[in-house]
Amino acid sequence: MTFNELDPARAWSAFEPTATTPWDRAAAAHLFRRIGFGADSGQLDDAAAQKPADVVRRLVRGENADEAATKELDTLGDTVAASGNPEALAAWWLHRMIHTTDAALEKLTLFWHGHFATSGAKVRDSRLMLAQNRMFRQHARGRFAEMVQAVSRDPAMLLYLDSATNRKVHPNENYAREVMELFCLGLDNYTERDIQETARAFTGWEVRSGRFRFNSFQHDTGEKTLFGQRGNYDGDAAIAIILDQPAAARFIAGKLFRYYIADEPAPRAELIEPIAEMLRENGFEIGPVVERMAGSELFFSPHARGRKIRSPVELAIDLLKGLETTTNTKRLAEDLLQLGQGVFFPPNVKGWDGGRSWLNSSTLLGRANLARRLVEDSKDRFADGSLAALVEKHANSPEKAVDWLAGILLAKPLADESRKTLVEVAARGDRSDAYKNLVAAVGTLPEFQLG
Amino acid sequence: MRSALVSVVSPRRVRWLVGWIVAGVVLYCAAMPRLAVADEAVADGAGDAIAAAAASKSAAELLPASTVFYAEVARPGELVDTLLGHPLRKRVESLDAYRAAVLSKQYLQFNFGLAVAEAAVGMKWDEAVKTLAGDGVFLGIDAGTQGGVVLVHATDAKKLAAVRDKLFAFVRSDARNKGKDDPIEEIEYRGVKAYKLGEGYAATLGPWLMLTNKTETGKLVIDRAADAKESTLAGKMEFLSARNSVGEHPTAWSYVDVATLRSAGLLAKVLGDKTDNLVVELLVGGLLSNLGNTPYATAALYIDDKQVRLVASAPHDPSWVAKPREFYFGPEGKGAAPIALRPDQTALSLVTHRDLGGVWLAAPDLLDEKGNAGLSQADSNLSTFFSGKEFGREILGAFEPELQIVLARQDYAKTGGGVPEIKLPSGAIVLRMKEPEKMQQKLKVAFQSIVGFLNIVGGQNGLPQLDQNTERRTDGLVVSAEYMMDDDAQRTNGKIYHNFSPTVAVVGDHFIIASTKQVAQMLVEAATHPASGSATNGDSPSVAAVNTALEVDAAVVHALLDDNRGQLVAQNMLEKGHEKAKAEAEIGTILDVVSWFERASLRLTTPSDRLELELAVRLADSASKP
Repeated sequence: MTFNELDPARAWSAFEPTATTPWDRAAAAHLFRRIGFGADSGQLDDAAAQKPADVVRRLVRGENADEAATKELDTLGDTVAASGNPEALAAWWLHRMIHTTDAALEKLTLFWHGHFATSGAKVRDSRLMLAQNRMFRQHARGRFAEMVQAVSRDPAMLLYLDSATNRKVHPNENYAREVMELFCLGLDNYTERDIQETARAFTGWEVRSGRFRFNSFQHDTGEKTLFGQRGNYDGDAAIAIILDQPAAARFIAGKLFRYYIADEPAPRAELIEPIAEMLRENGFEIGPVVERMAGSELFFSPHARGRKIRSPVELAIDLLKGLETTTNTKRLAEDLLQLGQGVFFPPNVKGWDGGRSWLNSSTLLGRANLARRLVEDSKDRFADGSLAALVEKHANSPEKAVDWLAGILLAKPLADESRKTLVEVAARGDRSDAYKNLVAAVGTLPEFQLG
Repeated sequence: MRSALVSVVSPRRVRWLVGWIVAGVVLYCAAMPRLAVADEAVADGAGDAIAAAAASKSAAELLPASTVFYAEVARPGELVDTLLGHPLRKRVESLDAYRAAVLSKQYLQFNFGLAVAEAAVGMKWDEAVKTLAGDGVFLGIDAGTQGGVVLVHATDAKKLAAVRDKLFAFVRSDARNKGKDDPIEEIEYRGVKAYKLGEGYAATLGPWLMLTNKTETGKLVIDRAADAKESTLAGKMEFLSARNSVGEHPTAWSYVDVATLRSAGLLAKVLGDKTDNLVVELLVGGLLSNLGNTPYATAALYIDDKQVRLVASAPHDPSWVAKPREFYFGPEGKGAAPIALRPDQTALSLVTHRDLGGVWLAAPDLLDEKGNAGLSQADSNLSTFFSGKEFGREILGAFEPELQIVLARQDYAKTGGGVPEIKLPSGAIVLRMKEPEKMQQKLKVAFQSIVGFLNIVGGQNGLPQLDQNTERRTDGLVVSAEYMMDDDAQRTNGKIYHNFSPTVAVVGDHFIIASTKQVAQMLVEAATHPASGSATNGDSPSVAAVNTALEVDAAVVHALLDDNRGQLVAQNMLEKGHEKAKAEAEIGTILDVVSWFERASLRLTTPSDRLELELAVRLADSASKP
């Protein structure tokens, strides 16, 4: 039975713990992994002791966010962007993901970065890339229409899509096409005519000296026909008409489903319709939709748990947060690029495909090596102590060490054979090396690839 | 010979030798006091006469003439006193990084071992070193036997023998407790007992403790202790000349037999391969000419409360420098660096004698194929900016063989432009024109061409345009190009290009190429009013002998780092994963350490028939006082 066979109303109803699906550390770990970037042992204990709905609300809304810490991370971003190097900016964002007090916001920002994919490799201006990143963060939980309007004025996006100039005598269809296909509606939900007319609506939207500028002399003030509606539309009006199409809410709901619930199969229209309807009713406000998804029966059901392949970013940040440690994020950014997910460097305008595309023979080896490198590079920063001290704070035997680590890092229960092997690794040799070897061994497990 | 020498200096052997030195000296010194009352034979059996003879000889008299490397610390006790009593010691100990290091597992293990040894002998290690190695520690590497030897001269031969016996007794006892065979094998040569332990050998010769990795090398030492007719290092003219060339009372000094190393082929790669990089040739070309001919080289280290100074020296003859490398020391080796112009806030100043036109033209003889290909392309491209003139002959050749490079901290409040987030120092190159009247217009036009080119390229990359301005300043002409500002928003936390306002200036026969107008203006002032104190001769009492002088002002470097503290903290956070507070603490430590210093300097001089390279690091007054 797949989730597509579930009753939609039941699937999206509020999660009620049962004997078979209890609210426990494993359920909390699943929530933190999906909505944020993993959690350490203490966070899991705290969460398991609270009501699930409260934990979901606090996490999704970022109620525990520390304003001072956030401001510090913002300032660090400005400083790093001044270097002019988008690669350094990638290191900053990874640092932010590790140290943020609002992990759900960073996870959503990463979602929008993949959705409105823009690469620093082409833009080559770290300040523009940072400004875009901030814009995603600012609108991440807010109204999608405002996000699209902001994206349509975003210099980094317009430079990336070669839309820095858009003149009325020769409308540039690049951006209009992406708005339809990739940002708002998806394929087969628009016509070529819609693209041409939208491009006319965006004429005069330019980038000059790294800033958005509306050039009224180049704006086509003529009447346009969009999805059967006629009028003298500008870009904002065109966005409103596009988002008014029935396909828009389904498209966004479907992408959020893939991001937060499961990679595959594709959800049937009926299953995601309640989410799409919620988007329509709430003016496409994203935060409440994510909160509903995260607090649903479906989210905590076996149909969602361990049903996603971890992206390289999730793999690394989950591990670091779970083990209360940090790393050289410059090097991590390079490693993630090799594994197919360079933040600020998506492969193309479609962003990352995700799911099974994360895995191949090369990346599997790279992901395992990354796990080892992260624990070896972290030295004595595991909760400000050694890895051995951290593990032994929670486990007094190799068996318990394996179980504790699995509870933190794995989305699925360990197979008996795997557990046996890991216990042998944990019991072998010097304590410090044994636990590093244990984490590295966990990194090679199929279970570790699932989030 | 080559393989033999390679074998002697292989990393494994060096590690072994260093291990022996440390182990031998520390254990010997640490074990000494308890055995101070021992009244045993000074030497072993028939070796008494040899030991007695050795007592009156120097280390150089005990080492063979075939010694290719010699080093000595004549007064280890003084060195220990200097280091332990140094004003910087308390500052170092107050650093968080130091406190963390002394809590590390490795340090605690080391300290435990040392404490055990000290407890066993009832004396601190530093006191033991001063007592027992008071007359010096010496190292020699012999080419003939491929062996290294360490000689430690005790102040009391009896104590030395007693320590040796105690040490061996300890080793034997330890082996017995572990159920192992006697690890020490006794051998004898000319009545002197020597002891083999692992790969090494030890013997005492009166007040001398000898440690070596080769019996043959040890025998050479014993032979020289026994027989005055044996050829010794002390009897070698080159060594005597080397010793005499070293200044008074160095903390440590060393001698290298370069001729032997050269004939063994050890320097073949360094001396034979051509570089592909003209800058490398400019930096070390002349030194390589010397290395290809000089018989020996010395290095002397001087440490006191104020500074650390390392002086490397070698005999030199201008005729050793082939024609293509005449650019380095000048004809007959008489080239001298210019007087340094020192604008305010100079972080680094380099003055040197280098004939840029000469090296450019001689490049086919100096660079490899790749280097020459690159140079040809550069020559062609640069000629474009100089109206098709030949860059090497007609442009570089139009300058005197004198060069100054200046890096200075910028004062953004005075520039009136944007303030960049990353604050780079201004850079400038100062040259002297042979015919100022002929050259200055050509150079000005070339600068205009380059600015035009930069505007086209910059425009394509979204950079603002450079606006050219010309101004007369005292007796100089300053032609600058400054980035046009769009609006006030760009004036703070600006982009990195705000560090630049490309400028050329002409004053007298000086031609200045600068990254900013500000530093160019200050250099024009310094050249116009050298008596104002902004122009000096690099503190050199004999300017003519100075080929190259580099000086770094630590206070300005500190200010530069402090200007970029935010960036440094950010980099630390990203690279080390630190929280801001910890990153700030680490960067603060680095800045603290820089503030301990006043300046660092490097000078290459050619006094009479020598070549001398001196590196000095001087402490700030505040750091050199207790």
